[in-house]
Amino acid sequence: MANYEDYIEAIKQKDDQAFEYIYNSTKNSVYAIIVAIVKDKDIANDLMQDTYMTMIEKINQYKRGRNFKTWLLTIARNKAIDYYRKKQNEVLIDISESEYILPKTQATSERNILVEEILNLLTDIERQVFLLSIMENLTHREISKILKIPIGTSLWHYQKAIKKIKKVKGSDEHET
Amino acid sequence: MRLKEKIDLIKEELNSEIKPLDSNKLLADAHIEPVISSKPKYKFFSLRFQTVFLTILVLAIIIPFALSNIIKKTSEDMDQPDATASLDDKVYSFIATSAVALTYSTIDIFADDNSLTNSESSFLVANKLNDLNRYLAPIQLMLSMNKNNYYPQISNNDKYANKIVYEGFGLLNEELYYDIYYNEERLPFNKIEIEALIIHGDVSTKLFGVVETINNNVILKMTHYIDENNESNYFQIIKNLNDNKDSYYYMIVKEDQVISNNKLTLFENEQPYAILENLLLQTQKTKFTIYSEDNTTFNIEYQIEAPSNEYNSEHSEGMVVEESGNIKVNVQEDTSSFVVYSNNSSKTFTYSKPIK
Repeated sequence: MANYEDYIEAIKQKDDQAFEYIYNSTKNSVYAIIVAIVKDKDIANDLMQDTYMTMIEKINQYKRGRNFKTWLLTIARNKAIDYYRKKQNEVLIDISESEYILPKTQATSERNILVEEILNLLTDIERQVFLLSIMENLTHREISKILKIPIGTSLWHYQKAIKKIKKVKGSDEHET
Repeated sequence: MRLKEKIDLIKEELNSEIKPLDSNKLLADAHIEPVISSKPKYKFFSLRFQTVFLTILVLAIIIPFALSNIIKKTSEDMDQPDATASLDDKVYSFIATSAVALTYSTIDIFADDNSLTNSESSFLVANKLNDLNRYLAPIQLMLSMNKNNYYPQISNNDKYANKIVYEGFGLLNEELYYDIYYNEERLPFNKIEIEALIIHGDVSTKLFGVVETINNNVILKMTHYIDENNESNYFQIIKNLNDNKDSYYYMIVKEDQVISNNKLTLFENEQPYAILENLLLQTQKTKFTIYSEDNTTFNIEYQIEAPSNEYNSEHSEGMVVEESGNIKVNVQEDTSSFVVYSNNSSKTFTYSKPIK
């Protein structure tokens, strides 16, 4: 576990370098948890900015000695869930009219299409567990804390995700 | 493409999607909140409550424990759990008020009133909504713990030594006011018996409680008997005082049969939420994650799991998700509407309001 304590103290003084260090060492997993929930890269980037803003503003609520990354990722997940819930409420009328909700398609390249195809195969919880695990090698203990699920459940969702991904054919296999 | 290549591809693509952040602007715009006390705004009353109520309980538990140590100082005694270690003023406040809420929301069960049954649907969750409906008031109490107000007063009832007043807001934003009277009796083996009377308007409710050590855990059980002459019908709220989580177990028993068994847990994140888990069926697990929009509206995520039919060594818990979705609950004057969304379809269920 990286030791962020000195950087956190510096952030309280609005130290730019300290923030850069924390941002660069956490951005991949923050983005991963948000995009796993909202499934839209533009919105994910906006929520990411909100997450770091909240992190700075509430930095005094962070208790020294606790897992900073877990704390930060919990903020990120809450931001994404809040957005998702608000968005869901907006489209409830559409659901009652039997329209399907599909993630916004933003794929532009073949690689991007494949990534989207893979991630769309996973359930929300599988996507969150899988991305948190691969983006920064978070342990299932850490993931379980962030997602508020038992460690065994985290492991189970990860294994299910891996099984599904294994079955997806790569871009070269599509062409044959 | 091999698995590792796919994972690398996903990582690369996602990392490339991250837009640069203007850290200077972010730092300049951010207003760092000062260090604040985690105590709710009703600190004066909370402290009074904490001081008086906890002192009584702490003394009740510590004194017999200390005395027994003086009388026979054995190593076995030294291993006794410290019952006061995880005592929390919140526990006692919440149990008293949620017990009162349950006296109203379980009326249909013990009156054999089937009017709430309204579950014809292809949704599996439809059969669970009745149960969820009756826990809405305790859930709301849990989610608004910091907004409500509890404070001790000098008892004006000759039969009870202690009194707590509870003031808060109900499911319709209506003002709630309860007088909670109670007596405690210390018994051997660190056991405490509690007898409580709760007055709400012209209705009074009795609760019987016990604090005892079971398997090194200090357990508080509060029971309301529907008919004091018949111990077959009751509901019980159980709290492990050694558990630091805000978790409470609810059991509703009719004619000696457990007909509802749930665990309610509070998670105090940026936005507090509660999880209600149905423990009644071994063969099916139902979990509701509940967010309160306001006192009258709840947004709920749900998941129903059942045992997997296939043996799978990788399958750590042996359960598969049978159904998941969202529920929006709106509490109105006489009824509550539950709008369920799952698998791209929706259905509205209506239940009687779970309060008086």
